[in-house]
Amino acid sequence: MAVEASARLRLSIWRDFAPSRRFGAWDGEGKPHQVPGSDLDLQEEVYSWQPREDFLDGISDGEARRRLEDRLQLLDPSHPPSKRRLDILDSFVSEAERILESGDAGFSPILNPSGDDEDAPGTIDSLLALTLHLKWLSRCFADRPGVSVSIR
Amino acid sequence: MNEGVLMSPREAAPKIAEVFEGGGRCSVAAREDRAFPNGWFPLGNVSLASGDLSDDPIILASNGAFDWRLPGTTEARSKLSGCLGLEKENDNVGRALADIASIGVRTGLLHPVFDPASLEEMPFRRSTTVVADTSGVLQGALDFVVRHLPKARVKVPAIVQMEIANSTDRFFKLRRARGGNEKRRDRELIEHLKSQGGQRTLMRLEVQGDTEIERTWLLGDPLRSAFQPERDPGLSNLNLSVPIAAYVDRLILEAARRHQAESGPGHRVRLLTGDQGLARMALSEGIPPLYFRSVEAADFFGGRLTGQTFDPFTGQIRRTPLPVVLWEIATAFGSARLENENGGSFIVSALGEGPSWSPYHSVEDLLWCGSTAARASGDPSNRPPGQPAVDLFGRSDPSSAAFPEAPPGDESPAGRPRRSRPSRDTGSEVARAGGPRARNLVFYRFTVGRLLRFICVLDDEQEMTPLRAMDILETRHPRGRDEYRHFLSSANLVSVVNGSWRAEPSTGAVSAALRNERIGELRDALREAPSFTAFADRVEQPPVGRVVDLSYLGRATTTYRTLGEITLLCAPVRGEGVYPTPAAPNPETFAQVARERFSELDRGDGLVSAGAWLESLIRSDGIHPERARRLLDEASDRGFLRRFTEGSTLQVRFDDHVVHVLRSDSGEPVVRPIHLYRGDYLIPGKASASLRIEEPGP
Repeated sequence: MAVEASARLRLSIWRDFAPSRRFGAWDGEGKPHQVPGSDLDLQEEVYSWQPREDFLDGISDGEARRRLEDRLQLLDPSHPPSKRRLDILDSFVSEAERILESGDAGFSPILNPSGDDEDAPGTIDSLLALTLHLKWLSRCFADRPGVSVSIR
Repeated sequence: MNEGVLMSPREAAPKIAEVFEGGGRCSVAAREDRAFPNGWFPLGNVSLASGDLSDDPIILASNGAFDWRLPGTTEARSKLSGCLGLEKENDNVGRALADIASIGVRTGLLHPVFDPASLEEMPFRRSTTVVADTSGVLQGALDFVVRHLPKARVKVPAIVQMEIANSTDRFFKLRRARGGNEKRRDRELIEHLKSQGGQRTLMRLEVQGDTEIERTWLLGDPLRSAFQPERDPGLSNLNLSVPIAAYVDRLILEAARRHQAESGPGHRVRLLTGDQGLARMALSEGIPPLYFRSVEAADFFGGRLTGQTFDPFTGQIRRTPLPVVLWEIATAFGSARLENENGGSFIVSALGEGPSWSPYHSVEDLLWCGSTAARASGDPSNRPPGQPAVDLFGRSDPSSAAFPEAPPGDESPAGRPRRSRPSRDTGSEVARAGGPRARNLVFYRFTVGRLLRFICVLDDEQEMTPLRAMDILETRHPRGRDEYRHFLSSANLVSVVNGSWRAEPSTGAVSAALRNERIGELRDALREAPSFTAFADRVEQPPVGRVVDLSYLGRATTTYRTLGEITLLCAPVRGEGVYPTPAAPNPETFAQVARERFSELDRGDGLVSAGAWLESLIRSDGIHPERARRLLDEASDRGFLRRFTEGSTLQVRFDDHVVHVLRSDSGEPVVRPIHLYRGDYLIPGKASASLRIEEPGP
C-alpha cells in the first residue's frame, strides 16, 4: 500500500564533527579499513525536534502548501550539509511569513491533543507557531560555523 | 467603567471574552499612570482564533488561541516618546523598549536567544543546578528554564533578590517625588518595568509554580577588602583604590562556585546570565555559563505572536492564556487595557493611585480589574489633549490629588479588596436547540472525560463540597462548574443539598458501568438527561448512511458528539460528518458485510487500509468501529471469515480521522481518541494498518 509522507516534520540541526583523533570503521571481511577523513563531512546532531501538529493543516491555499513543501525538499538529508545551511531554513521562514501575511494560513483543529484536552482539543495556528520556533532556532545558531539543518 | 474588583487571570477570562464578543480584534495598550501624561502606550492588536470546534471566546482566550500583532520598533519608539512627553528621543526610550520586550519572553511567547553551545546541552539529561543572575530573572531566561527544563534545579542567589529590591526602592523614590518628575519619567518607567517585572517573576516561581527554588546565603566576598577604597595617601600610587564594578557579579559567581564545591563530582552547575562580563568571568573560573543574548526591542516589536507555541524540546503545544499576558503587562507598567472597536474595554491594574495591595493578592495572583460597555463612537486612544484619561475606577485624571496613593497594605475605601462574583447569568450560558423536538432544551458544554471521572469519584465519596467538586472537575470558574452540575442533575446523578454535592442512587450503577466499560448501561443512564435523550433521538432519526446535522448544538457540539461516540450512537468520518451507527449485526451477517466492504475497497493488491474499511462500515452500514472490531474478532474465531493484517509502522498521514471511545484505565474511566488509520487499533499489539479479508477456508 502506498503511504504518503506525513507533513509532521522532524528537524535536526547538525554541526561539523571534527574528532580529535582518527576514526576507523570496519566495513566487512576483505574490505579496506575505512578511515573517515575531513572530506566525508562527518556531522554531529546537536538539536532535534518534532512538533506534534501538521503545520500544513492551517494552510488553505494549495499553491502556498506546494511552495513550502518545495522549500522543505531543499533541507532533505540526502543533500550535502554544505547545501543545507541555515540560510535555507531562513528562506523557508520567509516564505512561511509571506503566507501568514497573505492570510492563506490560520487556525486549524488540533489533531494530537494531550490529557484532558482530548475530546475538546481546540485550534492552533500551527504555521505561525512553527515559524516562531524556527526563527528562534535560526537566531540561536546564526553565527555558529559548520551548522547545517535537515528536515525529513 | 465598572468599579474595580480583584480577579485572578482565570476569573477574568469571561470578562476578557466579553470584549471580544461580536468578533473583530481588540487593541492592547499599557499605561504607567505617572510616567505617561499623554495616555496609553499602544501594543498592537489581538484577535482570537476562528474555528468551528472552539468558538467560545472564553475558551479561546484561556487556551492562548490568539494572534497578537505588535507595532514596529520605529513606531513603538515614537509612541513611547510621545507617552513620556519627551521632546526628543533619548537612549532611555530604547532601554525601556527592550525591557518591554522582556514581557514576551517572561510569558513564554518568545524564547531567549541562547548561545548555541548552551542550547546544545538542553534539555538536560541529568540533574543540573542553574544559578540565575539578575538578567536571567528580568529577561525571562529563568522562566524558560523552569518551563522547559524539568531536570534543572534552580538557585537564586540572595543578592539577585536584593538587586531587584533595590530597583523597587529606586522606583518608588522616583514615583513619590513631587515636582520635577517630568524629567525623570523615562527613568521611572524603566525602574517600574524592571522592578515590578522582576518581582513578579520571583513571586510566580515562589508561590505559584511547582519549581524548587533554593536561596543562597548572602555572604561577603572574602576578597572584598582588596577592592575597597584605599585611603592611605602613601599607597595611592598602587591603584588599590578602584572599587570593583562587578561586585554583585562576583557574589553571584561565588554562589555558583560554592554550590559546585558542595555537590558531587558528577553534578553540573550552570550560571544563567545575559551579561557578557559575568559569562566571561564564569567561563574563566570553571563555571560554564548558560548564556543568552540580551533581549532587544526588535525581538518583540514588529512581530506576530500567538499564545499557542510548540515546546522547544518535546514539540508539544504549550498554551499561554491571554489573561496571563495582560497580567504581565499590567504588572510591568501598572495597567493594561484591552479595547474593542466599539470602545468596550477591559482594564487590569497592578499599581496606581487607588488600588491597594495585600500579600494574598500576590499569592493568588489577584489584580484590580474593571470593564466598560461599548461606546457609541470615538476612539479613546486618540483623546484630545487635555481630556483626562479614565482609570480603572472610573476616575478622571489619575494625577489629581483626589485619590492619594495608598501605602502598601493600606486599604482605602475605594480600593478595599473585593473579590469578583460571577454573575448568575454567566453560570449556565448554553446552546439552545433549534429543532421542534429539542426546543427549550438546554445543551451543556463540558469535557466528557472529566465528567465521567467525576461520577466515579462522587460514587466513592458520596458527598463533597463545591470546592472539592471544582477541584476534581479541574475547573475553577463557577460557570464551568455549573455546566457539569446542571447536566449531572438533569441525569439524576447528583443533587445539591445545603450546598453539598451528593450522589444519587443511580450514581453507583453508572460508576460501575464506566469502570467496566458497559456501554449499554451507560447509554441508558445518560438517557435520564433530557438533553442527551433529545440528542440521541436526533442521531437515530436519519437512515444509515446519512450525515447527522448537529449544528443545533452550537457550542455544545463537541460535548454531545463525544458522548455519542463513546456510547456507540454515532461515529465521525473526517471531512464528511457524523453518521448514525445503530447497527449491531450478528457475527455471521457481519462477516458478509465485512467482505463486501473489503471487495469494494480492494484495488487488486489484496490489501486495504484498515481505517478506510472501518469508515466504510460507518458510512454504508451504520456499524461503529468499536462494534466492528469486536465482531471481526468473533467472526474470525467462529470461522465466518479469515483476516490478515500487515503494516509494521504507525501510519500518521490520516491522523485526523479519529473516533472517541470509552476505556477503563486502572479502574478510572478515560475518553480515548482512536486514530482509525494508524494500524494499532484493530488488533491490539499487532500492526494492522492494512487488512485482507477472505472467505472462510474449506
